[in-house]
Amino acid sequence: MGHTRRHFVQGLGVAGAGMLMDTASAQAAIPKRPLGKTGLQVSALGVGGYHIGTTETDEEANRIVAEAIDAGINFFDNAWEYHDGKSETRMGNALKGKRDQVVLMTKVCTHGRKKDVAMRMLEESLKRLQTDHLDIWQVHEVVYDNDPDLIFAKDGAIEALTQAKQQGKVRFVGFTGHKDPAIHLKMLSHNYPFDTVQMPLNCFDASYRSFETQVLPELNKRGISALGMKSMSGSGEGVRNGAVTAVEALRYAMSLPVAVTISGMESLDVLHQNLEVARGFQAMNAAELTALRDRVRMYASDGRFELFKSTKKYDGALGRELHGFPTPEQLPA
Amino acid sequence: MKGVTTPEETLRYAMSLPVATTITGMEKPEVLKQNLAIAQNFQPMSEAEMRGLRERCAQYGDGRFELYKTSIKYDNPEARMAHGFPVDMQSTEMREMLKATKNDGKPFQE
Repeated sequence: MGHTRRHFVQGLGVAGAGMLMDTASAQAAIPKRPLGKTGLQVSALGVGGYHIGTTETDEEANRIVAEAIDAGINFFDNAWEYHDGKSETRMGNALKGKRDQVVLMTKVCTHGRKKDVAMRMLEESLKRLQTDHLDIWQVHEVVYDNDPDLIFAKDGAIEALTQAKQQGKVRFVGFTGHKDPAIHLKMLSHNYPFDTVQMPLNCFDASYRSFETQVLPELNKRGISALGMKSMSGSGEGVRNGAVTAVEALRYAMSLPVAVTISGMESLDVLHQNLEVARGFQAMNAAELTALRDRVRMYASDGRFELFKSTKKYDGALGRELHGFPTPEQLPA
Repeated sequence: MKGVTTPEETLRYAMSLPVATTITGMEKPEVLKQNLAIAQNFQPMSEAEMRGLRERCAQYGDGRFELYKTSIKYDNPEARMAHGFPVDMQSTEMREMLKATKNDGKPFQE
C-alpha cells in the first residue's frame, strides 16, 4: 500500500459549534447494514488497518480502536503485509477483550504465490491478531492483470480460501484491489462464491475507470457484499487540492450501496471527524450524488486524484517485487 | 526485456501485425543496422510463430515490460502538469525523464 500517505484533517468549522454538534450527535447511532448474505451486520464506517500502523504511538492506536468501538464501529480491516505485521499486531493488542464485539477482516498477500504460502500467512495473522478465527479473509492487492490467473491456478490462493473456510479458521472470504475494474470483473468471472469484494469508491471514481459503474452493480446483483475504500482518494489528494471537502468525500462514499466504507484513521482527530459524519448518517440522495460527481468531473476524468489507479504509487513493495516491477523508490508515481 | 525475447523476435512480431509501419527509436548506428538487417530480409511470422511467442511471454502478462501502460513513467512531464499529476523533482525517475527530454520541469513557455 501507499508508502507516502500523509496526514490531513479537514477543518470542521469553529470549535464551539463542533462541540455542540458533538454533544447532540453523540446520541445518534452509526447505522448498521447487512454484510451481503453472511447474516452479519456491520457499521457503515469501518476502521482501516494500514493507518493503525502509522499512528505515532501504540497508545494512540489503542485509543482509536477503543473509541471507535464505543462509538458503534464494529468493522476492522487489516492485511498481513501492512507495516511488516505491525498493523495486525497493534490491532490484536487493541482488541484484547473486545474481539467478539467486532467483525475482523485481514488479507492474505500471496501476490501470485501458492496455497501453502497463504496458509502460513493465515497462521501468522491469527497469531498477531490474537484470535482463533477471522470473520473475513480476503486476497490482497489484486492489481496486476495476471493476478486472477495466478490466484485461480492449481494450488493457487483461491484453494487456501476454500480450505481455511472448511477448517473454520475464517468465516467468509473475498478479495480486494485498487487498480482496474476489469481485473475485478476477471476475478468475478470465475464464479467463485466470494462473500465480500473490496474496491475504491469515491466521488472521482465514477468518471474514471469506474468501480462504481462497472463492479458495484454486479456485486449487488450477485448478493456479494461490497466494501468501499479510498473515499478520500487514498491520501486526501482531492481534499488537499480543494476539489472536495473531507465531509463531502466521505458522505459520497457512504451513500453508495455498500456494506461498509473502510477509512484509514491515523489519529484521533481523523476518527472524530469521521464520527461526525457517521453518527446518524443520512445518505445523499440521487440528485446530490449526481451533482457532486458532475462538479468534480473535470478533475476526476484523468485520474489525477486516483493515483492508485493511474500510477504505481500505491502498489506495495512486496507485490512489485514478486511481479518483477521497479521498487517504489525507482518508480514512485 | 531482460532476456525473455531477442530484439529480432520483438521487431519481427510487431512488423508482422496488420499495420502500415512499425516506428522504432534508434539512438545509435548499431541499432539502425540491426533493425535494417531485420527489415531488409523481412518475412512476416506465421500464425503459429506469433502464437508461440505470445505464449512464451504470457507469464510476464502483469505489465512489468509495459510500464507505459502500468505507470506514468513514460508520460510527458508537460502533459503531467497540465493534468495536475505529481511532478516530483526528488524522484530519480522524474530526473531521468526530464534530462532525457531536456525539459527543465517548468511549464511550457509560449
